[in-house]
Amino acid sequence: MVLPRSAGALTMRVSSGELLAQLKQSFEAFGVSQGEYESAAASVLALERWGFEGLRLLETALSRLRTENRPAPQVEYVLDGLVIDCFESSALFGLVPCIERLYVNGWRNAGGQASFKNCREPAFILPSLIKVCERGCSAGMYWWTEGEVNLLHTVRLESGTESVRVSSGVWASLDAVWPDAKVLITREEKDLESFERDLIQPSFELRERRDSDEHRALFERISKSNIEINPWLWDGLQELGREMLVAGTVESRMGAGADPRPTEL
Amino acid sequence: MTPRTVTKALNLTASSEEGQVLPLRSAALVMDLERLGTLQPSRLSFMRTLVRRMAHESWRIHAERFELDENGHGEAIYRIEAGSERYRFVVFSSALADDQRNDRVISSQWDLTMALVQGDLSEDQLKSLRINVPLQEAGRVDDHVLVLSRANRSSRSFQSVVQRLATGQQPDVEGLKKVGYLCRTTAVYGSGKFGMADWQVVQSTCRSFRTPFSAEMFACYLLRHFSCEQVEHIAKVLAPDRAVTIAPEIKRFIGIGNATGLGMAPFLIKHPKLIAHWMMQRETALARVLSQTDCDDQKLNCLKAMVLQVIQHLRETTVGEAQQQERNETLVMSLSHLTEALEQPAFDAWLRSEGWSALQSFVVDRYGRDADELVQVLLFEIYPELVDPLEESMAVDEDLDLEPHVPLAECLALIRDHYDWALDIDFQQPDHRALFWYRSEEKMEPRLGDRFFEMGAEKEMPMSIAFAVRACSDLMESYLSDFPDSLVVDFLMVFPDQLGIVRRIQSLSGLHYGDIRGNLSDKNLQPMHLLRAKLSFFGVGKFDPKSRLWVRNTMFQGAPLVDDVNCDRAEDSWYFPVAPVL
Repeated sequence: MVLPRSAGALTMRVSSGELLAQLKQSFEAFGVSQGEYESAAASVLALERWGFEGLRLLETALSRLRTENRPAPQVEYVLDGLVIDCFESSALFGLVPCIERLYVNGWRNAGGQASFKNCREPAFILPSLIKVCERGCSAGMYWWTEGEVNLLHTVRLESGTESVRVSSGVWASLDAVWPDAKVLITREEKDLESFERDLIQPSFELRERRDSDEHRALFERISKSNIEINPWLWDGLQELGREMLVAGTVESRMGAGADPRPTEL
Repeated sequence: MTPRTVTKALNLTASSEEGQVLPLRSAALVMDLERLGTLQPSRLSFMRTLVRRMAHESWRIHAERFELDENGHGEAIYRIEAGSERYRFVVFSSALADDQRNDRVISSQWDLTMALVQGDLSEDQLKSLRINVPLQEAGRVDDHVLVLSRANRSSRSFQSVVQRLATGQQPDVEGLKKVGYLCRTTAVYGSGKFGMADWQVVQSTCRSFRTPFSAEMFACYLLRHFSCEQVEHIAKVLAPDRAVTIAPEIKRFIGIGNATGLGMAPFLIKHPKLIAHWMMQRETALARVLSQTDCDDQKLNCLKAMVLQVIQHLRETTVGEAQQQERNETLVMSLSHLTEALEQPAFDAWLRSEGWSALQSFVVDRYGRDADELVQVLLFEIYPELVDPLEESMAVDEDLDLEPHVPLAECLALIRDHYDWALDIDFQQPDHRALFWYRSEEKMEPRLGDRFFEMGAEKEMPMSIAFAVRACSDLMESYLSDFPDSLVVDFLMVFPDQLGIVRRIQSLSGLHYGDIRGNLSDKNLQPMHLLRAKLSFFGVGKFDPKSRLWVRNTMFQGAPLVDDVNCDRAEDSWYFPVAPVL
């Protein structure tokens, strides 16, 4: 008997290529468009590579994603940027055009801001920001996670000569948190500094910081070896992906061309 | 902040080795699906490139373990020294009933299963390979493994070659002309599948396999070597005193068989930048060669000899399908006529004064596309110094990206300019939407279905680029009539489901060759054209379609042997191989 690939294993490793292909096929089963499932799959992989635990985030979201109602995000244009209401949907899907909108506003107006309201897993916005920063701008992203201690996550993306420089911090606070994820796209890195200065209060306690070299090293390491994944998540993704497969019949076998009889006899 | 812009007017030129600007053939001609179905293997094909590299870098290949029983079942391990790098090629040979031997990807048993592994091999790794490699798609390997493959013995040739060797005779060359191999591979996996190392990792860490598909091609090359050693071994066990080994001339004429179906086609659509780049390299080679005017005695004699060799090669090629047979016969007639022309003093003088581009025009006008593509690759052989440097540039960044700031009207104009072939298709006609591509639940095998008679169209793979472009163009036109000054991003905010196709259109717009020009959902689609295009880049020969959906072919026939490589006498002249005369 051939056991399922992941049966009994506590962890398993998959290559980036097969993870990406599986994610695309699984997300396709959610009924989203090709561009969306491709972006979402790339987003999970990019988060994982840059050290932002994309797979763990997906694991917590997967069962909900399956049944989640995904209304189109509503965009409101306000004086200092955009307010995007995600209606409690995950940032994994549907936000690429909004980030592109923000990017276009950013280069037209020397900078653009957006608040993402009611947005689940806002970290999934990050890879789209990395993508636009590869075109030569800088960006910052800031969001809270609530718990016993509220944590502010800050990520700075700076356009480098060869690739985007990513640095991050996690700050603890007992103060009230704001529910929106904030994004700033700018051409001036000093804009990011002043934005962060306003954001990070003296009472906040720095819990974790990774500079761009650390993130780059993580990226290089994870990109050069297979990725560890929870077998149950892998099985769940495969199960989802199977929804995109068509049942095999005698007619369908002929649709692949070859004679179903043994060859050359 | 200035947005990065990749969209630009097409400049259809290439550079010579000295930087001189050379004209390229148009995308309308080169990327036409039917034209792609006429491509021939060339010096730039991955098999040729690989063998050249093995020779230049003095690779050494030796059996480290060869433990087969009297039926050839057991395991073998080959050690490969490629410069400072070490690899192992591990083969497991098992018993398989004749009626279980099947080319289909959905099969689950094979005569041979094998893996190409990076570095040294520990006993634990070997144990894991023994369990997982024979399972193929149902197994898991780690990222030391670069390639996973399987093969079956040829029912037409394997046993008969064993019998002849065991009775002290050489294999029947007439029989080998018809078959050309002892074993036939039915799948070759790499690029991160089933836990293997990703292509990007192979590219950056395995210098020996830094060009696309070179690791996969190498696995096939060693399979060919193993198949010869395997028949020799069985014959020797059968008749220790009488058995002979295969003469090197005949051994070189033994390739490795391959059966390829639709599984290869989606790659061409999923990797548009790579395919456009491969075509660009090939067309650059052509432009460089056609710009030469030094048609002297040596080069003309070389061309004449090659044309005669191709004629013999085609005559020795056995093809079951009538259409392919007719194409081969027409090609033989064309080349025979060309041979006569080349012997005429007036033609000879004209060629010497006008150069190779005149020859190409003559061939196109007189003999058509098949002959055109064939003569091109022969000209490549005359100028290795102009062609071979391009082999190191076959990989490319495949990232697709948007240009959201571009005016939508500009994007629509770009579609009308680059995708006029797609906009010309009337998708209201049922025949133009008749087929859909899907993945079967049987090993995810890609298949074609009839949209109007078969289930599963709702799970269609996004293979019909022409249809997607048409739909996107219609939406853009309508949107622009209401918002004439809008940008691409405005359109995507309203139609986010167009993100994928807009990203593709914009990303390919700066490339010379862009998308393959054909309607992949047309009732009369010939998927064989897609298979042939990709197989030509691999370098396969003896193209033998078994239907419009799958093809049998031969790899590495005529190539230098492992012994030739080990002794530094591997020659790079194995194009269009012909049967040896002993």
